[in-house]
Amino acid sequence: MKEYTFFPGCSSEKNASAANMEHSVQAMCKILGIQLNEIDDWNCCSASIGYAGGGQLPRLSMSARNFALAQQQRGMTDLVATCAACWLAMREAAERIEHEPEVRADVNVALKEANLSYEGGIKTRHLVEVLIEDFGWDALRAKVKKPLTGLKVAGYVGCQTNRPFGIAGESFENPLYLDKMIEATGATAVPYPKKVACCGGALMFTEVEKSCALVRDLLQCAVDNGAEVIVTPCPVCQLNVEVYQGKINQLFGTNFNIPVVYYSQLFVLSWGGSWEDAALNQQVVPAEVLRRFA
Amino acid sequence: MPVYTFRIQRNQKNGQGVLESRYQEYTLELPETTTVLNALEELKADQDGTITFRQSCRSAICGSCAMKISGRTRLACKTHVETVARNGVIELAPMANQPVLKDLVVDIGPFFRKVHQIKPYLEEGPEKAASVDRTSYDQVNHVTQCIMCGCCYSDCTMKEVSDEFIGPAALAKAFRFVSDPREGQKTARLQELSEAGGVWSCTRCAMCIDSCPKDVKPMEAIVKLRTRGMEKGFVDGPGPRHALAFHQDIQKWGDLNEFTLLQRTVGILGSIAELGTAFHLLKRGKIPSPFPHQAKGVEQLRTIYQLLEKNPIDVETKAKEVVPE
Repeated sequence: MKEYTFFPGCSSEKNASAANMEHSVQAMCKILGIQLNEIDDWNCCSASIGYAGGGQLPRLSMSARNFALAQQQRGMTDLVATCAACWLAMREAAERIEHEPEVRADVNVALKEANLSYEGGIKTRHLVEVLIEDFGWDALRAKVKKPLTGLKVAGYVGCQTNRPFGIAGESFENPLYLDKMIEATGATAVPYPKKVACCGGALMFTEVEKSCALVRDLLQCAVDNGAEVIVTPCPVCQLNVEVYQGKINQLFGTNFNIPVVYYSQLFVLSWGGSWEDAALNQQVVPAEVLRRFA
Repeated sequence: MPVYTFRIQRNQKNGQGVLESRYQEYTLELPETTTVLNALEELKADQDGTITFRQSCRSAICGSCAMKISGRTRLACKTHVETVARNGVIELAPMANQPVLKDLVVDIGPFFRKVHQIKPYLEEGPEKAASVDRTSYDQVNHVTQCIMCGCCYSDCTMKEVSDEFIGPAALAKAFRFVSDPREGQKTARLQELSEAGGVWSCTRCAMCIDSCPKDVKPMEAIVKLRTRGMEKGFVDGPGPRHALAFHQDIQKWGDLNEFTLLQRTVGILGSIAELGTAFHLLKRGKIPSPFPHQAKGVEQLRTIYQLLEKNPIDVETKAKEVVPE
């Protein structure tokens, strides 16, 4: 059993938009022998939009409070996130606090208000990096009990796990980890030229028709390349690409109905987990094409 | 020496004056470190004199030779063939998000009209400072490196679907003027930039940071412009309201409330328009309680916020100096 300090984030909470990611991640970790120790009393990562009022520092301080709590509770351990937005926000905060002494000093002025301090040392990691670096491709392949043979999957990486930091060791323009994960489950990764394009998720509430046009292009690219299902590591991508298909069909006269799942759901299913373990009952666009492997 | 195949998008007008697009392939034997621009010149000189592209300085200063090279917009003069060849093939196409004139040449008029829209010159006015110290240059150093090549504009996610959006390069330039102590109309600029098609239309996908050949980081400038616009009170749009909703949730709950986020961004009527989407989510157990998890330490968060709001510490001005390439 390998243990990691865990930051779930708001979208992974009960009944939130990525509840199925959280459920399938827990199932995946159980099979693999990972224990995720949630930070007690964590707060929102501030995502990348919490910059209203007081400049950039509140945003960095929010992550710093989580780091301080993680250190108090678990010592100098790796801090693992599953949400792309949380991981990006934490990664940026960690790097700036580590490498910019003035930022570190300012953050600590703020943390002192809460009788906390953080001087650096936390390593922020995406769960995908844990799977690749600490377990490796052979271990992931060895767990497969029901290979997803014949399933054609488009691996949609999106932006937050790709720019500006990216998953360790991956190319910015053509990251391959998601395709390798798809292949590790026995499925086929179709070519997907839009794999690092943005879904426009940040504007889905504010400029919805433009965001829908971006998602339309992502869906069309997947369909054109023969994909039966889209897989992503990002809760923002998953939500936008999945739930707006009806609206997109209305807006543009298209006829999309393609399931969008998390990598963790594919792993759980191929490793012999049930439909419920993989939280596939929580898809808005039903993933019936996966039913034959359940 | 390795042999490379150049797959070049040829765009030429037919007899009726309509632009027709096709791909044409050429092969060349080249050392790995040859630039794409040198390869193009060799092709034009020895194989096909009709290939049309822009070029001038050959030193990544003029920005003329920006084009799509193997899927991403880059300067042909700064790109070695080996770094962009995929199985020996290098694909060349004109920049995106701009009208194509011929082969690899686009009309850069729309791009520069956006630059002119943000008034790329200092204006007289009440906010003009009398003295300029060195630190004020440090924070705009990275944006002054922009060479107006248009790589970011060509790779911009939002430009794919929005003519109105000002685009990364022009917004980065706008940041340079908003941050210049000698500028007299900082607030008026922020007001204009906060309107439709301005700083709030960026998807923050960071593509511009990745594709910029001069490390300008336009998205960082856009994010700073948002913060400064809100500080000046330009908060009456869906973009700022969305940001404020996040901000207030964090203070109130220490957590983000997906239930009320939409309602506070687009208002009650807008939320009703989205009820269909919400219903789909509800059926799948994906609508959270309106009373979410509240961090036990939420009092800690409030005290942190109160301190920072009373004494805003400007992290921006502490940005490290960017060393020009």
